[in-house]
Amino acid sequence: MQETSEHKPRSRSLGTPAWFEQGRHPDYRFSLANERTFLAWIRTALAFMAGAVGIYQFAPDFATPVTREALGVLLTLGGASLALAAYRRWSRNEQAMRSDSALPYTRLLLVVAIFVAIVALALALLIIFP
Amino acid sequence: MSTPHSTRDPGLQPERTGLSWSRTAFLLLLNSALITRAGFEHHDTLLTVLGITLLASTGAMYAWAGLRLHVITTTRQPVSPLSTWAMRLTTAVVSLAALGVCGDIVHQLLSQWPER
Repeated sequence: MQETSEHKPRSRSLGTPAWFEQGRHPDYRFSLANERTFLAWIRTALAFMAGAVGIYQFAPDFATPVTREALGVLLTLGGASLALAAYRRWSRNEQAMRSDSALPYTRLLLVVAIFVAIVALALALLIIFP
Repeated sequence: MSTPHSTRDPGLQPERTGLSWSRTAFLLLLNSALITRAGFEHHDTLLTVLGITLLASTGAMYAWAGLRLHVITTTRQPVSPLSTWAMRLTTAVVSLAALGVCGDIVHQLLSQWPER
């Protein structure tokens, strides 16, 4: 660990990420925008979960039970992954801003767009051809 | 490149961030209501417990939404250990709830498997 004599890092609070003391504090507006982006991803995850519960529990006449359960599993796993990806993305953006480097590129948007398109297409087909 | 923290913010960032937490809490409330109702309706203990736990989390998130606005406007410190923990807890609650619902579906699927 490299330390200079005039700048000793303070002891970190419990569970605080290591990058807290690295680099310099970014413009507070950028940090707040990053926090809102995290929350937007969380809301997307919550929408997936609500969709899963809706199909699995409140649409007894829709398709077959196995199809409903498969869609439920797909959407809940998607929601859980998105929530974890949201935190990881927030953390990586914050670190990039502190070190003045470019924000990390993410394929997450493309993956989510393809995922939603496939689920929507499957739902449309199941509604048209029950 | 960086703007000093004391600069007046024309973008209403604190309000937007506080409202963003409120919107997220509202969606969490919607999920809690759906899961709790499904649990009661189908006598599913796992879903009922999950729904009530999520309902408590919603209350905590609404409280944090109000507190967040206050903390940002008074300290102008956007990232603190407390705010990091709030985000970690949110991530944990949402991902565990999604996995809980997934577990319930798989459990139902396996318990009825021989009949299909």
